[in-house]
Amino acid sequence: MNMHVTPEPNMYRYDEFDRKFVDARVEQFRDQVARRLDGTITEDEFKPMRLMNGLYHQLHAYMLRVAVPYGTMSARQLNVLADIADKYDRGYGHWTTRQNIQYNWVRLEETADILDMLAGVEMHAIQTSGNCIRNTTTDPYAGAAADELADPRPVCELIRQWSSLHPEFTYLPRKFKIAVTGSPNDRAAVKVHDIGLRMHLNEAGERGWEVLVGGGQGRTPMVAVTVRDWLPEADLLPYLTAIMRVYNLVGRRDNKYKARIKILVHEMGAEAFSAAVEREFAEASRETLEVDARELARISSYFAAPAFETLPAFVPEIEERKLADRGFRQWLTANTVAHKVPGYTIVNASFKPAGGIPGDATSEQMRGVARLAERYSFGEVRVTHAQNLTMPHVRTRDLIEVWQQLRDQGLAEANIGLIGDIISCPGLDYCALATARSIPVAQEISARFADIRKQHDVGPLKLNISGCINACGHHHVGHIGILGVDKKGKEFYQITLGGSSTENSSIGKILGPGFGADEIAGAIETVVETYLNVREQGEEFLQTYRRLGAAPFKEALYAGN
Amino acid sequence: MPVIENNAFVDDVWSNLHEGDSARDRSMIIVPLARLEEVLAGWPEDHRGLGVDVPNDADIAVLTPHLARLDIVTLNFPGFADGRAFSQARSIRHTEHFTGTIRARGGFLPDQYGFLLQSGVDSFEVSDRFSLAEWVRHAGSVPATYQRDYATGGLATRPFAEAGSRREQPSFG
Amino acid sequence: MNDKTEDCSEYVVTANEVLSGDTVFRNLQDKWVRGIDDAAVLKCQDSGFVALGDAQKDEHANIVMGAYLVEVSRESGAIRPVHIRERIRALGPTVRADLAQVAQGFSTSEVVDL
Repeated sequence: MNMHVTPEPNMYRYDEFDRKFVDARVEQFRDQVARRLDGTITEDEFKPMRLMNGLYHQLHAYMLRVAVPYGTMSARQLNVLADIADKYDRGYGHWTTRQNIQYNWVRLEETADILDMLAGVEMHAIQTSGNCIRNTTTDPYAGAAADELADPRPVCELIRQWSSLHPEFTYLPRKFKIAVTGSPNDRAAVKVHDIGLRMHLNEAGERGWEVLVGGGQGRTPMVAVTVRDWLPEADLLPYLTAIMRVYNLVGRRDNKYKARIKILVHEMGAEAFSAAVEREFAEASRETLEVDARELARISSYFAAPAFETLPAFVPEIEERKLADRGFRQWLTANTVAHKVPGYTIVNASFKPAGGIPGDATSEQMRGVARLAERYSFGEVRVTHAQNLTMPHVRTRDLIEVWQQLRDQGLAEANIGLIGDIISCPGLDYCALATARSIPVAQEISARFADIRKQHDVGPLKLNISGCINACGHHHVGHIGILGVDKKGKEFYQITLGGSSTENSSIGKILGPGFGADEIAGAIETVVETYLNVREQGEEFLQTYRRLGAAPFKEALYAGN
Repeated sequence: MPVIENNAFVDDVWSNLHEGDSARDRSMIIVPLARLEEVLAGWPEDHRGLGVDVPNDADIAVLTPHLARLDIVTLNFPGFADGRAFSQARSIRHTEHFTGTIRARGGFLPDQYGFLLQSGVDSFEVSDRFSLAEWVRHAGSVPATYQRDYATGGLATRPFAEAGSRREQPSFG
Repeated sequence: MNDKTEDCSEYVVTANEVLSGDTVFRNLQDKWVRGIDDAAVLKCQDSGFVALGDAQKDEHANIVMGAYLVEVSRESGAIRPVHIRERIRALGPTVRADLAQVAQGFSTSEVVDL
């Protein structure tokens, strides 16, 4: 009698208003395309319009970036992403570092139809590009992590709605990225965002937010400064509005490369900037505060915890398998994370096969994860900023089955957080701005470290690769960063060491002269070997670098040259 | 240049005071911000018919003491992608409670008409490149807004939620 | 070959189709085609600019966008861009030989060993 019902996770759901809004935006875009094609508007005018709806033109074709708000989606939505890959693209998509997905081969004439299909499952591509407020990112383990204070996603959704087609803040000096963490262990990189929000609890147990401004990567990497230690939650939107207004009015527009808010904060000085924001905030309308609070309460009710069972934390068969099966043990160590509810575990699906393209997902893999999420994770999936997927709520006792099924799909490489889990931008293989390829470098390095035992021996190591100075591959905050440049028509790669995007954020430092395309993977091997030789017991790569500095690595790479 | 107000073309009753022009014995003039204080000094307290043209890099705080004596403020778009005037309009209208006319000038596009209205602009100096109908239909090309306190007539906002409650979740398909 | 000077290289005219976004090249019949091997090769920059000016009519007609000249050389009869970016644009992506822009595809070494 038990009918199969697709589980719908507890996440934000559109009401009639949201639906009307997104449908209208699709129609507006369809109309903009028609006017581009009939010549009513020029390509120069159309370009910002299409970008604000996620449509780029890249090296080979149009590229559509679809928003996965704060990285949360349902299995149902993931299935539709797979359908879009098959129907309108070439059977695959690419997880992005803003927890979104992008398709590399869409056609302008079909884009509005894709958006219609997305709207059918409460998704869109609104503000995934352009000089506006982008998709808010957060901890991929939100609502599940054992170490979080509270689920940050209601605030992310509040920000999503507030920032969507904001009449005042859609033609900013430059793009604008907000990240939110509800955990003291920052997995959302809030210190390298235009605005970072970090949740705190006061003695009364009330939530407040630390506000960080002016972090970022790109050409001029900077770590954000805290402008407010404690902002009452009710004041969030008026305060964000004040920041945005100051930035919109006085952020530089004379030079694209100096237009991000980090430059404004740097040039004004954090104190003067903060004072300007506080002045604006003091004049801000208070009439919406009560509405915001009610909205937040309404939104929060969607994110209720799923119907967790009462389960034992200790599952004997898992422990036995762990002892008996090294592959399972490695996977458990690297790819699973402690859940806040006993008997549950957070599971990562690795889209980083040895020698593969980081973050690329075939439609079959998308459907495979959707099936697993339906069966084992309350129908819920997350996109991580490291370009993998997460199933946030898996019963610990199901881990062996989940592992086996992920392995069947090539998604169980036990390398999350290890050197094989490389973040890479698309680079010159796809990107119109890139100056060198990134993916082949990632492929060669991950192939050289294909031995999972070796990766586990090396331990936690974030290796990030960007194919140009815009740093979409986050090389500045990789423990090891690689930046590809064009040197007299040849690809050339610089190594940075010591970057980090966590609560102890730092910007990596350039190690020395760069390497050719045929040398870079070997150079990375040398860096790793050097670390293995000089590390102390239990010391991770970043700790070793912070203790010893660049000297031993320089010595190993450049001595004799 | 044609001027749109209330979704219709209107006669432009304003003229611009150019460099070197005298403001004496004139009315219905828009003066550059740089000359505002000078013109106001010779402008009778009870006299109306004065406006100011504000560059988009000006701090509108300098306008605050004078707004009560002004009937129109013009804001500038050097190109459509330069959105400073949206915040200037919002500040003048909403923070300073200016009740006169706020006019947009320059290179903005019909696609921005709705956002301009919502930011407080109510007068539009436009070229003849686009028809009136083209401008007007963009007032509500997305006829819903999440920003309740920016909503202008005709735009839907979300109905107020009952605090702490939510409807049964609708199911897909 | 010794009379070939620097400003008299060979060029092709390229652009992207507005509707599809695809990379296209101008052929001898002034049509846009998808493979670089069917492109018209123009001797010297001057004749390149003449052809480009002609191609730009199709930009105004909203058929293509972003027309420009790409410097090429002949490699075993094939027309190949000189610069790596243009090479990958015309032939790539290098990481998905199955999706390569030209039928025969190309090897990674063909890009790297310029």
